[in-house]
Amino acid sequence: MKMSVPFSITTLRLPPGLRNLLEGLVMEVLRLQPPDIVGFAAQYFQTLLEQREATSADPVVWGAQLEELQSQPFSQEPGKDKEKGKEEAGGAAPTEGACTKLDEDILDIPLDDPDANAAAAKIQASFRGHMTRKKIKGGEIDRKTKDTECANSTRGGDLRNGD
Amino acid sequence: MTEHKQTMPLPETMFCAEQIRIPPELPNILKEFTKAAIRTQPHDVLQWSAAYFSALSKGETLPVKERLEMPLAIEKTDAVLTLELLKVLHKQLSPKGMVNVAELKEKWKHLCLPEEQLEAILQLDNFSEEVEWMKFLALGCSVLGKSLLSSLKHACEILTKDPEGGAARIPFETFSFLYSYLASIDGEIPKEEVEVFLHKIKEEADKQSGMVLLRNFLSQASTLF
Repeated sequence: MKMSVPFSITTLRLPPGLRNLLEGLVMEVLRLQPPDIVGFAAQYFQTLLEQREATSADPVVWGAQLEELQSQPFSQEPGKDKEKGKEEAGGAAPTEGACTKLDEDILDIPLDDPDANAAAAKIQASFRGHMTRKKIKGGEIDRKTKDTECANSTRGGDLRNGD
Repeated sequence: MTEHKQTMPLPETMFCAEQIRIPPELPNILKEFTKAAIRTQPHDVLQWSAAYFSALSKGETLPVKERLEMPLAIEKTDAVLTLELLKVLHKQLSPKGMVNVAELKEKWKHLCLPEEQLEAILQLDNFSEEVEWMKFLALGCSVLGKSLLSSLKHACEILTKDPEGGAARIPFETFSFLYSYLASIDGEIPKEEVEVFLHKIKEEADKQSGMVLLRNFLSQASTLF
């Protein structure tokens, strides 16, 4: 049983909740542009860990649920992005084949090409969605609507250029 | 577009992809991290991520398995010590020789292993604040293996410099130390039997440049136990 197992029959999968954790980290790195990313990441996760220990809320459980939610098909963006959205939704679905694809996607992201930029915009969009939901609670609905409209139109343009 | 990216300060609200500056080292950091996560399949993603980046920033050995361990199903049940996890601990702690229990506890926790299991292992011997790493390794192997010899098999697999699936050779001195130690912890194996066994193994090892091979002792499993 100790012999190495042929790679093809192993199912590569991301541990549940990791994707969401990574998205959170990337958002913060892109926003704050820390000079030492590794040190920043260490501190970022340590802070989350302390928060989890202080409260009972587990961001990983929450993130895993969010991932599951995101894996359900939904349409929110016009035109080309819709297709991409579906593809992504398929990738995150909890089926084995699709998960492997998702992992490959994540491993092979070349962050310096236009497609990656488009993807970054998408990550940003989901984060904005998260912020928006927060804001709605605070009653800042007006501003959010503006933001979303503006962002949607700009992003649509970007995507067409990017492809 | 590029100069635009560099000169414009980041406003609080982002509208388009061009406003995002991607640090050149970020993709690689994320790629390595994700690969490590897929390979290690940590139980507690957050705990492990914190440990990963903490070790990376301090230049310490990463809490990463060398390869994917097959029964991924265990992920559904409680976390327990596995061969690959013990291997990670060995890489992290063996260079120290003597290991502080507090540090051991920390590394244990980083791998998302339950504290009770560590306590149970430590209780097998009377350790103070410091633990001789080789003794802990032996005890860890005894948790993995069902018999004394299968425990030693695991120890050889961790300690050997041979490629995986090979003869898993280790020096006789190491073998003798581990066997005698585990036999003394077990307490039910007569001293003479231990000596006879080690003498036989030594004869084999002398023919093999002082190295013990897995098959030197696994073939005797049926006669001795």
